Amino acid sequence: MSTIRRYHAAAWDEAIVFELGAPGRRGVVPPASWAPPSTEPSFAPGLRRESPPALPELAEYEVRRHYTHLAQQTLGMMGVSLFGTCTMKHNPTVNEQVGARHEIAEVHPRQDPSTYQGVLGIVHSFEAELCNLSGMSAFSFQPGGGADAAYLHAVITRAYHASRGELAQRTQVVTTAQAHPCNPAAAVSAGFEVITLPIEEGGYPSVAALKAVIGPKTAALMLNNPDDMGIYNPHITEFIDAVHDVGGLAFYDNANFNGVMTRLRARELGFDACMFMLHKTFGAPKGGNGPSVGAYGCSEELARFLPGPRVVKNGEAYELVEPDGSVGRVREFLGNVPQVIKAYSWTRAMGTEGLRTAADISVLANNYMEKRLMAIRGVSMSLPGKALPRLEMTRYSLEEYRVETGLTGGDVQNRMTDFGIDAFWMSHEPWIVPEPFTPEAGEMWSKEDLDEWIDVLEHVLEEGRRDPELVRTSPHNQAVAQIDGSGLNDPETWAVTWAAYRRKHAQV
Amino acid sequence: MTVSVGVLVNPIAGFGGTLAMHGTDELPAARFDEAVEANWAGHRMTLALDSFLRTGGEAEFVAVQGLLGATQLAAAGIHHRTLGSPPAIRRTTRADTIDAARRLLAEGVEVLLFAGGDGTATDIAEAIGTRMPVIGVPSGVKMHSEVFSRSPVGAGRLLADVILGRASSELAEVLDVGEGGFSGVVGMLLAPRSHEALQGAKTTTVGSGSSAARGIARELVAHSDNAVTWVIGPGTTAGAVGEELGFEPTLLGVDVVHPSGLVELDVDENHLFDVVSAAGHPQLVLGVVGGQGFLLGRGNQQLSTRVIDSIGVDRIHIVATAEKVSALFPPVLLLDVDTPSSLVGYRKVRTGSRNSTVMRVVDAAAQFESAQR
Amino acid sequence: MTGSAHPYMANSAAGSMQALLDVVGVSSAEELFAQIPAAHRGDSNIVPSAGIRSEQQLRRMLEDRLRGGISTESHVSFLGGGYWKHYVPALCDEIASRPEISTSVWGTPSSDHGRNQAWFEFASQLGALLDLEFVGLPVYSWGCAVGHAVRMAARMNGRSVVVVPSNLDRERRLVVDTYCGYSELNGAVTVREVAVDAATGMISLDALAAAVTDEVAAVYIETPNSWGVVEADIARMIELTHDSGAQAIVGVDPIALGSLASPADFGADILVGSIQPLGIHLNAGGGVGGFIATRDEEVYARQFPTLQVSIAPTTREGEHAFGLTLFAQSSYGSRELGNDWTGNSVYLWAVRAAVYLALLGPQGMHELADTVVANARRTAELIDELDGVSVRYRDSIFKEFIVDFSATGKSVEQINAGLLARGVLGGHDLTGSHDGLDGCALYCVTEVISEDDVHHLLGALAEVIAA
Repeated sequence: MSTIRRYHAAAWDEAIVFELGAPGRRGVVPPASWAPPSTEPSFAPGLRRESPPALPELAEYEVRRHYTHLAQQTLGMMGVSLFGTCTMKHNPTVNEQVGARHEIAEVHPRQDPSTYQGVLGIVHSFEAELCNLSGMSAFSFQPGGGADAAYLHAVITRAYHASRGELAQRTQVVTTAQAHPCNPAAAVSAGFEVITLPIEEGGYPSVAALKAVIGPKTAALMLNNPDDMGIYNPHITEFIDAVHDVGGLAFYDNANFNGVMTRLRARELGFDACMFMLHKTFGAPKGGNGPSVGAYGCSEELARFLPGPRVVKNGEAYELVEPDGSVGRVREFLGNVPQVIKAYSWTRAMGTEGLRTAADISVLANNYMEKRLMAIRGVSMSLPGKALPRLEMTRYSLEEYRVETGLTGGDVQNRMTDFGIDAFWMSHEPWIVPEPFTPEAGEMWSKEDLDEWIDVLEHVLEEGRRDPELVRTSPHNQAVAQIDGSGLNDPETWAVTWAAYRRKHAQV
Repeated sequence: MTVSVGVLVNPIAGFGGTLAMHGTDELPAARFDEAVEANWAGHRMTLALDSFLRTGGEAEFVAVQGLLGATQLAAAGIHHRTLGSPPAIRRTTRADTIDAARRLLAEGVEVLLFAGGDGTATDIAEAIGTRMPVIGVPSGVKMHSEVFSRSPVGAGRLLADVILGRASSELAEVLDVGEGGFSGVVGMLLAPRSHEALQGAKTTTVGSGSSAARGIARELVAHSDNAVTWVIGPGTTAGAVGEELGFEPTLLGVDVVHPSGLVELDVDENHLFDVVSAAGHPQLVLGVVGGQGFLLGRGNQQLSTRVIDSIGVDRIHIVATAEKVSALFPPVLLLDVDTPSSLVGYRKVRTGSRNSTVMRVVDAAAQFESAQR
Repeated sequence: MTGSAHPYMANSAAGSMQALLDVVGVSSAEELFAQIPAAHRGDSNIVPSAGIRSEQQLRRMLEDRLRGGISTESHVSFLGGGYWKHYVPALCDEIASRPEISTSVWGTPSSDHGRNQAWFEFASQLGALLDLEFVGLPVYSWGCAVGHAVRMAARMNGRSVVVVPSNLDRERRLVVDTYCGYSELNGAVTVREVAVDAATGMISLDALAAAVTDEVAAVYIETPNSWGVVEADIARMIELTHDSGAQAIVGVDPIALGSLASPADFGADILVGSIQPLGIHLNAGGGVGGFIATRDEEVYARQFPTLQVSIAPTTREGEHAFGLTLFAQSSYGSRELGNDWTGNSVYLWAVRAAVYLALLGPQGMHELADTVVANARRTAELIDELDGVSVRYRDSIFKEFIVDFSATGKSVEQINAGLLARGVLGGHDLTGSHDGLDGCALYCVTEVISEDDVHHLLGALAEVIAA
């Protein structure tokens, strides 16, 4: 094993912003009004605030120092983070700078489209590039993330069946146990019932299981492929055909696109719609949890249901239109436009060959990790021997290690952060293997980074065998110690605001 | 605040496994001392208590004198309070386990931790029923009952969650070989489930367990009419339909609700066949038994092939909580029946009011043969 | 990959790639795609394009496409409509640009502690402004916040109608309609409009009383409303709502709450609104972000579809960390059994808003609100003085107001074209949006509009109208 990095996070023992500053201090001072003083009462009686809001009062430098400390107490991707299912990518700084230009950042969405043709042109070009990569006919960037794109699909499914007079009959959406939880959740939110196909012995659901539950009630199929275990369902086209045969739509959650970029096109597989996450696969930063974009692509037949506004090219001009059968909106305006522009930039920088290389590397690096991880005592993989070689992810289990030491994946995860390795992703619900963990190598991280990640895991597992308490009570080198989560779901103790905390924990 | 925790150890549990004896229920008297000497269950209990003590909850352990707990705790150096005088006989029996559980309950302990297997769980269910939460430290040979934690360490952590108020209790099915030699649901215990919600950590889902069962029941009953003759199979998930229909199901047997509202509890096969044959609209609610996914042939032999065929496959609602079905891999439900059943094939399984899954129903014998290949 | 490595991919260097291939034991990555049937492959159908590995060339390509674009920086803008230009303090940009924050993904309560604290401070400071103690992390937008809040109310009381004002901004209304669903399916909510009194620009109390029947799950009101008018009788509206057992959902502009009392003080149950004015750029529409807040009561908390972080102790004496609370009721925790659905949203905007509110503080928010309303009312007054132009409800507006150009004989479209040629982005055209609004535009004036800007507008308007 190579040398393990000596690491310690910044630990400022930083107070809550309300504990900082002093009465009367000012951070940013707004301009006074230029209007002549008025003698009239401004608002109807009783509408004015009686006392100022209980906000903190800090000098500007105090605010800067405080939030800089908070940034320093955040690992983000500044160590090694192989957070599976999220496809950690390089987020080039140049895109941040371009995105901050006034021609993007200061554009009001209600400006006449003629005034920001550059922005609309890039959005249009990127739509064309995603059509090229997916075979779809049109894309909407309005959904605010992958889950929102799944919701948009459920909404478009409603509109599609309603337009054929069949909505009252088509109340069921079929998904799989390995589809992201947002798929069934979005379907139910749109009013559908959900039927979840289980993973069978081969590592994926069977066509027979699907056929047992589809029929005149079927509205849509929503699934991913490959799934989060890196397993590709080779019968996917039969799934789609079967759903089409009974009159349903097929939606491809392309969350796991990284390993199959330039090799698979959703439309050619037969899907009616698909979704790409620009904040994952296409190089836009995640920002902790957005702003993100779930780019929703669909066939020519479904394009008329897309939400407005859509960017279309008319001669040399880019215009905004509302499709004639539009579902309206899932969100106001055009979408997270700066993220679309960053994704466009990233895609142009990569080029088709770069995208292919990225897919190659992400699959190769995953198989490299698998070789090394499977040599570690206590680590096993989901469905061993099945569906090999895995694509860009493999799901592993620490169950053997837990039986041996009593330590859980959560314990190991916490201890790994003591070496600057950020949390791994365990698994979405439901857990098919116990104590799961799902690293995703992606194309950005170097071989040395992957080795460091694996070395740290191995080191932590050994530590746990020698001294389980060290691992169980970790982290020890992080910004703060292990959280005591016992009160998080108790209404007497939870406090999502400082005011609630002060009220419930008055003695502190 | 200190919580009083009852500790109960079946001193010979787990010993049978090494002898391929399928449990210690019929352990030869001559080998009793050997089993006590092995102290498998005592060791597992110690692991669980160590795990609990590391998390540092406030608890007082209470055990009955002798081999049913106090001896093992003393040997492991774990501080505890002892109840009563040593049992008169050296070799403990089922009756001693039942007696010990009742004494702990009478003493006012708030939660019971026991080390044993399905047999021990059965005895405790008989002794105290659902009058206090019970955590099983897995220490037996057969552990299909829903009361067992995944490991001794897990049991210790769950105890800590109970004491910290991070757990709520649900009915748990106790499975064992019951009267007549068939295995099935033989009793009920109250089992705590913890709610841990750290960032990125496994969480207990909402709408699972008993609330999912209620949701399924409401949906089924709401979409039925007064002409239905309901046949309610054993288990809590199917039983929820009985509750929705306004009666207390036996949970261990098959109950019938006639269109007239007449309820018949725990009916036998002959009568059941007569009932469903005569019924215009029979509907069977069938739960999944235990951790192995048995649908028929485990504690519900009343639901014979002729009864199933008479009801008709389209009128059979298979119900199970998502927790139970997601623990089954491969996703297969088993039938242990003598004659071929029309239930074989992919069947929809309701897991909630608005959600369901699909599972392959197979003949257990055929499944076994294919596994052998 | 031919030639040299790509800067975004460390292992595209030939030696690194080969080292991986050697360990895996394949000669090419292609061998690792064996799971995918050949018939599924679409490689040959992709039209290839070359990559741009030079950052300089890439930047140039993008800048060439963007250059010359008009924005609210190059022109004076009076555009609004629930989406407003306020000053973005420099520090908001600096903190949000820090790579630890901008690249963070999920982490643990320890490893991403600072970001979690910033989220907690977002909820806490916004809560202070709203006078509410339970604030979820942001949802996609204001309209989405309304939609979720309506669904929360419907789940709570099992009713199926929501009452909304007839003048609700079209963008938000379309989102609400989507969230309310189709009657053929489960859980649908019917949207019922309540009339706005054309004389006052406020919801008619009589109409509201008639609309709020016992099927009504919730009443959604905005103040200031979509025509910029501050509802005078908000307390009475909430009372009417509660009288029929419905939930009172109120949409607010956080900037206005610097000097206006929070509707929570009048009994509003769920407050929603936009976080965009709190330090977030317009971003061509990509700055939307919404919030949902309630009293800290379990019955409400259990209905939130959002994630939220709670302060909690750590194993070290006297130390805090921030962990997800009620995670299990999200779709992450419970798939389709969760409350609606949860996914990536706009949490980086929460960090911006936290910095913004810490910078402004109580005095700043108060002064800002006063400046905004004074600037807006003065501008309204001056526009109203123009021949053929009138401003509606100008004594009860906050920062937006309706300008009626119908007497000029020119359409808003014509006027805006003329203004654009004179360096002004005129107000949002309301023609066709509601009865009686043909020839009207919604103008927005905030602290960023100077007296010179207004005189520029007045001069341009006079010319355009006369032309």
